[in-house]
Amino acid sequence: MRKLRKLYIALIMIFLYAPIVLLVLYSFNNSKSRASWGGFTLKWYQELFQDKAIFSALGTTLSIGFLAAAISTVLGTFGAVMMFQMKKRNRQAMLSVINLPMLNSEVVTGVSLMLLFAIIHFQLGYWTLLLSHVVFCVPYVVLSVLPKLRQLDPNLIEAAQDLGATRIQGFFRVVLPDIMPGVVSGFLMALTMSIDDFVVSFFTTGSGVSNLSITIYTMAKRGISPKINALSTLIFGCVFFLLLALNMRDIKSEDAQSIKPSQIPY
Amino acid sequence: MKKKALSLPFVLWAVFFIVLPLLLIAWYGVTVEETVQFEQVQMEDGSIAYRLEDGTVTSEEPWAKKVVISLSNFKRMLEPTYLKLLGRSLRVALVTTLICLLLGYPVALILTGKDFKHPTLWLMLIILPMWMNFLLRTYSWMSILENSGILNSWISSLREAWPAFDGWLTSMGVGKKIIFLYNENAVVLGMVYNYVSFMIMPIYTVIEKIDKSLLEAASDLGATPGQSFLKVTLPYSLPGVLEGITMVFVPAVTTFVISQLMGGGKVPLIGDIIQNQFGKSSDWHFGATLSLLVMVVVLAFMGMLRKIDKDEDEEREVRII
Amino acid sequence: MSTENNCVLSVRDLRVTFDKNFVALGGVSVDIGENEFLTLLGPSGCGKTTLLRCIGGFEKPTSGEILFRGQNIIPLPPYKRNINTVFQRYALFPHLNVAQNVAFGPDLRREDKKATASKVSEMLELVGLAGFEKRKINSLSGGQQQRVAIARALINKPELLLLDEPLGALDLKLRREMQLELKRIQKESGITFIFVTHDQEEALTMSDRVAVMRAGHILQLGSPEDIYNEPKSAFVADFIGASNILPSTMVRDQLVHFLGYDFPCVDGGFGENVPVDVVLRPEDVKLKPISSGLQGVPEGVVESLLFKGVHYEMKVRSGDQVLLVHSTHARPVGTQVYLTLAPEDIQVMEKSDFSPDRRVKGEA
Repeated sequence: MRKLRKLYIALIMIFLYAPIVLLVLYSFNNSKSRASWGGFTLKWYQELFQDKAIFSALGTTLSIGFLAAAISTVLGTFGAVMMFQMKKRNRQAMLSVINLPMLNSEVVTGVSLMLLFAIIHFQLGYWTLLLSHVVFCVPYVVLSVLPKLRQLDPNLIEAAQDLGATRIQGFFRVVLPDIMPGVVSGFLMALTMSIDDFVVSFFTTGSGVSNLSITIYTMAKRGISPKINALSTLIFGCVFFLLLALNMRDIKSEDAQSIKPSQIPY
Repeated sequence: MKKKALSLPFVLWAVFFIVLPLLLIAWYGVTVEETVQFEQVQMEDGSIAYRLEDGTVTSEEPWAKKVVISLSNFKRMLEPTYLKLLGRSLRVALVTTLICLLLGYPVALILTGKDFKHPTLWLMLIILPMWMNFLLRTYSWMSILENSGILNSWISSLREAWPAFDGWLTSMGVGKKIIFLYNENAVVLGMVYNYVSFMIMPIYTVIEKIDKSLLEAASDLGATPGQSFLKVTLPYSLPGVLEGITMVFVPAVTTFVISQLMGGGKVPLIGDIIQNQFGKSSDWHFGATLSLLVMVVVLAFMGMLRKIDKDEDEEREVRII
Repeated sequence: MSTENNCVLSVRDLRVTFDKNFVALGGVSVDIGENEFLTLLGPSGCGKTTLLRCIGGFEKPTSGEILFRGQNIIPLPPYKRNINTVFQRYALFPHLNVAQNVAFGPDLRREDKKATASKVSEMLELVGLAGFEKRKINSLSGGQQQRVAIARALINKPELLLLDEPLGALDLKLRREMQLELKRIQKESGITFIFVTHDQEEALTMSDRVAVMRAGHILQLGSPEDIYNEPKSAFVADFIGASNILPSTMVRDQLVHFLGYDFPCVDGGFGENVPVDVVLRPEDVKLKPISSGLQGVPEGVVESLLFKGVHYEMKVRSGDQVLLVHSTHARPVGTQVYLTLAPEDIQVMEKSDFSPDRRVKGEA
């Protein structure tokens, strides 16, 4: 039974990673065709670093990703706090509205924002792209911060004020550190969503501004350059090792602290 | 400052960027752009001019565009072509969701098993592929599945090495090259691949939170592992399952990229048509009507699954800022 | 106890109404003197915590005044009041260590770091946690967290410390210890304490004065001895300890009729043939064997017998009443007894609408 479980997980992993392994292999393939193996090469990596178009797309993806994640984290955290303070009925109404971009498909979100920008004559480009990403990222932040606020002991806020903190001081010194895990995971979710997004970007960008997704989509009609494979391999490798390192550290500390001092009864 | 005044900016933001755009879709959806042909008049010098609505006469612009409320796009939407597309989109999305559930639930269950080591590491490995652009991953699948792709070349080398297998396949009516791509199944595969993690994550989160003593209590009371799964784990994991279904179904019902790539344009879905209306064919009004339809279908589906609002907390007023 | 000059806090006719119809406080007035330990005692929902929160600044009263050293502090936010609170579940900041928690107030006022550090150590010493500076909050036991919460409040040198059921989460032994500890800290620091609890024993052991509250009103305010020995109402008598409360008639001054007999007592001034309640402490009801052949006293039958360590607890039925009796002398169930009472042990009270819970009366 245990072996069967492991086998199942292994199969799922193969399913998930087969195309990725293939992509990585292609990035080292000397032949431009996807069908044949022409020997090992690093030339795509060399060419990648000379390709201005790809690098500008990467720049757009990253700057939009980090800016959108940062703005939506601030806005979403603020919004979550505001919603938390509302009367139950208002909060529920607000929650339904905030949920809409998540419940609506990306197509609808993208199209609706495109119409909005058209109506207010906002030239499609970098800023509309950024705004749109903020719009669909905020709900993720709100929904990851709100549960943390609910878990927050309201006495903590009162205790801070009791000890002389103004509301603002209390928020930064007590509430924010307490809900930080929610804020951080909201930020990471927003970043991931923004970097991986294609559909909303497709409808809300213009004047030659394109991120990686759009570049790849346009390229697809002519065939994907192995340079993109090389770039993706680099990005994936970085993220992979970063997360692996973080997780390994967690696992190690988990093992070392299997008996935590706090668990010893006083 | 008053609490209400403080929350105003956020409420305004939500209204402007979430509610207003959706209202715009609704407005575009119920209107059409009509071309108004102006009355032709013969000028004294024999040239032809046009009389505009306000009576002025001009020699340029023989027509103008006018937005009028009309339900004609709804009629058009009900044409068999579009209904068939919607039907296919729903079918593909439902099949995708079902397969994701069947594949993903056991993964979540196994990872949360008490003898499974380092579940968070494995969960991370499941989420990680999302960091490789999904278009590229879909492409990669295409190169595995295409006629001259890896899978086909493996199968043909198998056939050469093992004539019995070749004979069996031939007797089954399978051609030299197996066509995997450019049909509905390929689209489903592409979607399952892209969305299965969305199913695993919420289910994992919910199962992981189940109080382990409940399971112990169940087995203490004489439940077999199968029974305690049915009586404890399954009911407790339902919220996660619903969340997962939402997260898979919503993007699946409207995607247009995966169907274009894996379906090779032969399996258009409703999302493709919407994209077209805002791109090449450029009929925003009809595109908006279709978006409206998708929105209604998705929201109706969600409404069937659960109440949108899961806010369980009691009425309490806490003032932070 | 509290004259104008040594009065720290004066609450005048304080009313709090929630949602326009629920009255949490219905006009409470109380003066609290310098270095006094006042306990607000009552069942949950009696308004004691609301009163405390009004004083702390976390609740806006609907009407009334709270004078702190003569100044009305109702408009002031909590952070502008020289009053500190020890919260029910301590409300220690989980992301800060012990020293950082205690130094929270001084740090906000940007006091000198070195001076603060030494003050923190001083405070931790006062609460018996010397050397705990670097410890994490979640590595502390309940009692230790309690002490940190007290140190965190006291370091601000408040003139008034509010304690909201601070011992509720501790086990019995620890609670007893902390009661003595709190009393000691209050004596040493010289700060006025307002303490909220629903535990009558706690209230009686620690306080200088006790205010018994019910449904948004203070029913009785006095020293623990007064409250225990001379409850003014059936509710106070019942709440303050296991008591027998019997419906009676005041025949005339110094003579009261209950259980079918006239009893001489020390109270008077109610008038003649007026319905009243009498309170009989379980330890004051004496049982005599039927063989003693007494006249003019009620008879009873022992219905249950429990050994309680120091004494036996018995329920004795007499007519339609069941009395709780504490005695060092066990009498088996079913024994016929006489019930006798000394005049000074009969506490006569005005009739009130309160009917005590079934603990004593209806359990038969």
